Amino acid sequence: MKSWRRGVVVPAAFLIGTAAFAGEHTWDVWEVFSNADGTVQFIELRETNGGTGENGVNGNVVSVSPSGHSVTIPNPVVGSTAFHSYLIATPGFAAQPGAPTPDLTLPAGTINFIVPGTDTSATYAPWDTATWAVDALPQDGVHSLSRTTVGGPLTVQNATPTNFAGGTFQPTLPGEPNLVANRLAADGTSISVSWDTAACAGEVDHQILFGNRSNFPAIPGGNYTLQGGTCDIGTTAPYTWTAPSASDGSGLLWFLVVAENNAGREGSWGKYDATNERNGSGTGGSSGVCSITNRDLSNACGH
Amino acid sequence: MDVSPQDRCTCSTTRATNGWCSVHSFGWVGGLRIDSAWLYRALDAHGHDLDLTTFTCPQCRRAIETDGFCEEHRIGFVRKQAYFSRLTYELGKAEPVDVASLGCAVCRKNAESSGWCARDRVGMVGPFAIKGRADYDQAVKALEIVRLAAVESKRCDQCAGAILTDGTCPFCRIKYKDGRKVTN
Repeated sequence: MKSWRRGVVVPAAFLIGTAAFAGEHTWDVWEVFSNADGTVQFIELRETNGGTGENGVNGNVVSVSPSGHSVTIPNPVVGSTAFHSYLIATPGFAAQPGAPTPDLTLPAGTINFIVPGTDTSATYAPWDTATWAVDALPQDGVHSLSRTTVGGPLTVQNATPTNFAGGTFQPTLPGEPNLVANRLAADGTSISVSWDTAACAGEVDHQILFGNRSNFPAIPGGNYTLQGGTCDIGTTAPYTWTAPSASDGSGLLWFLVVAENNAGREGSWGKYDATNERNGSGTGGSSGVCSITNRDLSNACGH
Repeated sequence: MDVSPQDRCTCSTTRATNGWCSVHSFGWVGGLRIDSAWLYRALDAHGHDLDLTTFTCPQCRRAIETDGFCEEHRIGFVRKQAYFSRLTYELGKAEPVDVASLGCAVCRKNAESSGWCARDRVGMVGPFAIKGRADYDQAVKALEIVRLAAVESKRCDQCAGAILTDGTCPFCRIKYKDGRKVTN
């Protein structure tokens, strides 16, 4: 039988190296964030498959739907792309102290690029789309919708906007005192706890309220129960806290610092969303520990 | 005078190599001329070396082990390299040939576009030879989608991208399925 070819095959080595452009396929929509008024927003893409040469993001469009707002990525990224992020953000985000520099800042004056309550998807066209239920996007200024696994669903997480260079930070509510915890002992039994004393001067005293995994409310808006409280820690930060172990065996211990007036009344536990207070199971949503019998929310700082 | 690689016309070889001529600003994928640089880049007709442990979908895992294609994620694997479309995956498995050297006139003719030679039981998609009929049929079907995308890219690149992925153009808001507009 006559052969269909005479045996000439284009050498593989000849084919390799003719790819004129960098890849672009392995970026996914990873995290979506908006604050309440839409001034501070970001969409983070992430290279999810360890591709080192997925630099060719330029020319691709990131859009949200159904509002139809879109932006075209103008430039390729430079350097290894494996598991890096690409941060697209509003000018309001970029202006926040400590915020990582966006890889692409939306035009001056841009607000509500993502329209909360309307938009339900973000697309890195044409390769990936992430979707969420209408009204599922947190607007508390702290949380975002984020994937935690490649191709997984978006879920509510602490926002961690990250740029290509790896710069990141944890957003906090405007005007909300920052709480910073530093582990002093490797096993977590000694923790240095600091809070913003400048923003909330004049408080009488504070307490640390803590709980374990089983103390979280079953549903958003439900009451928190407590494992206990560390009373009368004073008004000077940092405070060195001897932290207990989680009594439910979960290994998860959460805590917050709450102001109190040494007369049975404590202040806010902060909000679990844009408007609603976290509540304890005591009177008026108070803790019911450390001789607390009521709560006063009239002062943003607490007591 | 020497010219730098990006200033050198490569038209004599780009069809055979799924390449792009930066001098004349067009390229080839599977013997199909692609005039849009964006579309050519989106087609990305080469294998990607990725961290294969990041693919957790069972179909993808199976595809990695068998040089197969995951229909759900539209990713194919050939010799552990990832290809992001059915066409480029089939081309990755195919044998690139020097068309002028082919001994079979039918195959040479087929290589001008595409076609199956019943006598030699070889399909050609441009200068790429595919020996299995099922693979060839898949490649031709995918080539037709790319052909539609190439036509549409003259009007809108993002529509071309949506055609490739059965998606929606972010600008025109047109949804595509199997290369065609979807009308509700």
